[in-house]
Amino acid sequence: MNLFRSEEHAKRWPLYSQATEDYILPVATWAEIFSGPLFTERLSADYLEHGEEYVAAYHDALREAGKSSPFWQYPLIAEMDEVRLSKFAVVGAYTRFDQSVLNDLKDARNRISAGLGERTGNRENHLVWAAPGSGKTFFVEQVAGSLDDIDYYELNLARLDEAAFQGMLDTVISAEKPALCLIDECDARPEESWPYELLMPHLDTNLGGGHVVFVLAGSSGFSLDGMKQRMSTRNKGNDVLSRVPAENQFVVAPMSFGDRVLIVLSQFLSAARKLGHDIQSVEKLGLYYIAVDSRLANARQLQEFATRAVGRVPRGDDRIKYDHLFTPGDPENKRFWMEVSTVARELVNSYVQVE
Amino acid sequence: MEALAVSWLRSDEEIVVKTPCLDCGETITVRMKHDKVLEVDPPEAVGYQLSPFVQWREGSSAFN
Repeated sequence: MNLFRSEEHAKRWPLYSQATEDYILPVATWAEIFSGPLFTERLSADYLEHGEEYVAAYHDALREAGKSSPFWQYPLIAEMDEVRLSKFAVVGAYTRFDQSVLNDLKDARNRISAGLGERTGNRENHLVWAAPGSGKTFFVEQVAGSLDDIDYYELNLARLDEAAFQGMLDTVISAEKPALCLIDECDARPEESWPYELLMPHLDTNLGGGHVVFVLAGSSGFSLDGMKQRMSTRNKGNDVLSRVPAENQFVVAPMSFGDRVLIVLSQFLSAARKLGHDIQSVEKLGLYYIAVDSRLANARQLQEFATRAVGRVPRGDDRIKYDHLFTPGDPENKRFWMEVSTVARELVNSYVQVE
Repeated sequence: MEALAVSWLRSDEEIVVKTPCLDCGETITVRMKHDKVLEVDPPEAVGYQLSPFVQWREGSSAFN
């Protein structure tokens, strides 16, 4: 157990891994969890006989602590028989599993879209704090893709130098059509003064007859307030923040286990379409494997993995089985099965229908 | 876990654990009696377990 003065301190630790973020808990909560029989009965003669019971109690204690972890979320997949991806769509191909997250982002999408409709003469700027890996860029891209007759620009502050940033901003404000402009990693380059000096006057474009919606997005500070606090300490930071209406500030919540399942299913269907293969269902054990495997955390890896898996499905079969995820003889197949067989047996030969 | 388990050794006594934060080095104080935490300073202090449970059986440093 590693102790830190706060969650933020833990996440700054060089050994911190996002894959294990569920394992940050208040000290008192850990003390309660460790008071369970899995730990306190270790010297009992019949400890091994009660092993399963003690592990179950441990899982229950973790669940009560309110932390979601892939390992004990396998029931979510076990109970999942049919998934209609369109039910979870926020905009375009961007999906979210949790209904409150879904609806909050639909509201944000609507506000961004409204700013690109009739010219209001008001500032239509937005500020987004997004958990790392939550797909903020993809979300804004999908909003842009859902709108007709607009121009879309993406300026990543971390990747542009001063001259390039200025040049891109000039292009944005001279666009003939209404423009949606994502300032990605808007909290980058904290040591430089030019980013906000250049950006700030452009945030008033609509007051001078232009028609641009700026979306400033970043991930630092562990929260929207934390990011704003960091931005406010920078040169012109407060000027930038004051040009974003309060109602246009929102959060893109971290990806949950359910979100990951949706992404996996979506990638399978997308790969199947590209390969001209009709896929209707996925074996639950395979879905569980991908959803908990931290090595498949990024979208590109997931896409390649899905394509290879679909390629192994025999023509005429519309199911992706667990075995299709691996090349024949891959020891990873057996390793994972051995790992979870005691708890996830019901996921074998059981399928999720996908639409 | 070891830090919190110290209190089990003297379950009738109040135990105070002082340890540096692994990020900033400042002190974290935990006052316990048996398995109950009586006080944590700062109150927002957290414990972080580096290894996901699913990997524990691979011999990872689950309890470190």
